[in-house]
Amino acid sequence: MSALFGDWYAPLLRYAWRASGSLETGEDLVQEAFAELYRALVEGKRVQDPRAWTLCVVRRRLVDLQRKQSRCGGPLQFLSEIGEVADNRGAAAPAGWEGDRLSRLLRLLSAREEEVLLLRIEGLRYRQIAAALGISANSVKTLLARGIRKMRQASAGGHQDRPRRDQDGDIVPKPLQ
Amino acid sequence: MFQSHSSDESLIAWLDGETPFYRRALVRSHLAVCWKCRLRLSRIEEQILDVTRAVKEDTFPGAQRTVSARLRFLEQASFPGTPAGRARPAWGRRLGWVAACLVLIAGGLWVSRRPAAAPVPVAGQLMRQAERAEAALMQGAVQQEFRVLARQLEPREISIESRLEVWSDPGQDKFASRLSRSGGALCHALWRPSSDRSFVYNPARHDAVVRLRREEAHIRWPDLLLREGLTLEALEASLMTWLENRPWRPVTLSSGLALAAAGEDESLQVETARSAAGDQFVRLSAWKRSGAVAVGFILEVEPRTSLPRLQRIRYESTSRTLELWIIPEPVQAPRPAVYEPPPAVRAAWPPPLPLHPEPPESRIPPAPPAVVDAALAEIEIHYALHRIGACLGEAVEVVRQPGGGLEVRGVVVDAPRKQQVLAALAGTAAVVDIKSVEEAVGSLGHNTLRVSRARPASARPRKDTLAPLYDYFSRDEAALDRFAGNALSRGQDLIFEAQALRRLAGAFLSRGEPSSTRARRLLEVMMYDHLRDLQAKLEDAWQSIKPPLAAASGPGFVPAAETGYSTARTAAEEAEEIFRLSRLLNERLEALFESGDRPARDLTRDVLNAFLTLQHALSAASARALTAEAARD
Repeated sequence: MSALFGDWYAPLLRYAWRASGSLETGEDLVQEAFAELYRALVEGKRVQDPRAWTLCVVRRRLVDLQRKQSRCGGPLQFLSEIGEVADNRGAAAPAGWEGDRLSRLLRLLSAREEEVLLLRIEGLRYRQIAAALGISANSVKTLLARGIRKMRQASAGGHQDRPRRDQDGDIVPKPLQ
Repeated sequence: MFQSHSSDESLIAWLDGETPFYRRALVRSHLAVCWKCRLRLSRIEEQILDVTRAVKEDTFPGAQRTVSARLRFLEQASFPGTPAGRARPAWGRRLGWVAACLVLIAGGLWVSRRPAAAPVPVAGQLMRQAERAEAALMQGAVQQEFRVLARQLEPREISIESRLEVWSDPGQDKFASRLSRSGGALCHALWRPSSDRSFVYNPARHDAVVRLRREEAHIRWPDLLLREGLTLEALEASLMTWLENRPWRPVTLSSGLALAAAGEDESLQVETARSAAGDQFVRLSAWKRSGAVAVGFILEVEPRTSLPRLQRIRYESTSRTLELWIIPEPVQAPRPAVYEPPPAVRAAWPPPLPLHPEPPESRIPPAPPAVVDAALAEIEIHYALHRIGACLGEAVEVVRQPGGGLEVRGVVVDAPRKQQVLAALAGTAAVVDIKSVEEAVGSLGHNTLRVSRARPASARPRKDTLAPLYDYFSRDEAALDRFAGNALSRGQDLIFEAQALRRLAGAFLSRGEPSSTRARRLLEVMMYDHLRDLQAKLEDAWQSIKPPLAAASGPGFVPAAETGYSTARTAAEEAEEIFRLSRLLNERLEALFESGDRPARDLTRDVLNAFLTLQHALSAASARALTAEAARD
């Protein structure tokens, strides 16, 4: 569990941070996911792949949060911070990470593409990723290829992906598919 | 013939090993002919490399946040009732921060107070600890098991896996060892029933068990390896020589490193690393150099027990990079030691051609000051390409120009490979026109390639007709996929070797032997190399492919060489016949895994028969090559 935390905490937090738009929220979601995993293991539940499992927990919690926010009405405050973190979060943002190479690459991808890519980098097979995310292995293949194509186009200079903004200039978060 | 282009999805799935087995051969054969798809494939690979590099270099979210998160998690794990997230008591959070700060301060103090020259004595100390830890396990009679992996990383990837079993009773001076291929074929064994008798079985040298004569001088690993032109087979042979000449004691991995370092603690390097499973270990390494050859002895040690978990020997020269991995494994099923050899051990396969007793270069007469012989000039070019493996399936050809000159032209995979080919051809008389794939595609117009858009005949899964093989793999589709991929790629490797052999024979032997002694010798060396590699690869393929095919062929079936095999008379005819039989084997393998109506049982039988037929042809060619060598010596 400790080794998993050491290896998987950073990628999962990056994903949660980018999807929620807030580092604090991201940290809480990841903490909850690891705590839930711990409880599941203690209770003797069968967890096929802990990485995919925790990613799914984070994703589920994100969707719950989005729904709760939308029921309350008004702009989704925590989602409005997605993307250019430094502008929106000031001192709370970890300086320097918003513009690093990995962030620039991942910013090009949709949430689903990023999930598939993250799990593939961690060495999961298509079948495992598909089972964890509840999609087909063919979708995994397509999402992975699409993600790589986007990054390839961007590095060739053909496509500069910028965060989408609404009429007020606020950044529109990536939809969770 | 062109198939339709592969999509990015197909290429990525192919790279990831996720293509179904019946599509794999199609993608591969398409890539073999389509530069555009190869270029796309290399760009995809570059992008994947870029992302993985970015992930590796990533330092997000920093040590402070990670430590604090870990503390929070441990706190939650210790008190499961504590709610997750930020709703926990403020004191817990403060305590977490205090603890994190203390950890960071302690870490900072440790780093700042660490003496600058510490690594050298630490490395020596660690190695001696590893030696002591290993020696402590070797009290009394022991049985050991090791996984041995001989790998060629450059110029192209090949790997041979074996298992080494050792029984040793130092108290009674008894010893036995067995080195066998992953398929079970025995390739080396030692028996020492008493202090005055020891026996060896080494099919590369003798067909049966013989008395062991040990070398007079003490054999050291570095002495065996520090030479130019070492091949994968020679690396394995050096392991056997080492086994035959080391003390009759259990195998200790740290002793190899100790010999390499030989009391020079300053040549030892130490570093900590993490395995793929996340376990930390200590890596000790010592390097020896001689001219352009460097040999590294790398030992990975478990930090808690100081026991070695892997010894890796890495050989680097201008033309080859090889590695030998020796991985200790727990003894699965203890077996009683057999220190007496059996009355006779017959080789399951004809012994492979022996290695050249010395590097071939030393046996080749020097080149005349001015090369006037056109055949010699051409053979020199072929030899330069042969040494870097460019004769095996690479799109590089030697062309005789109308004016009498020689041109080497072709397309190689990337710029580094192009540089390697250019460097190899630097001293020859060839006009060189080599392009990387990227350059070649760039120089073509968009309409230069006539690409047929007609789809190939649809390949469909042969689950119905492959039922006996499915049964063999307990209906595990992934296992069958892996088997099919393995069989097809081995078949293709055989074709490349046979093609190179046939090309040489066709170009230089069909018109009679070259007149110059150097040209003849160079030609013999190249053909000998290809024959030996063909034999080794065929044996390896047989060991790994035969069991499932034999099971699928049904009980009572005994493979036999086919009658259509013609006994060739000259070396050129022999090469032609070997190529024909390699192609036949390849076609039958493809027929087995692609669509067709014949039942799998017939197809597997055909494949096994083709194997044996090729083996007969190779045995005959080897015998001729050995006779020629003996006559010359």
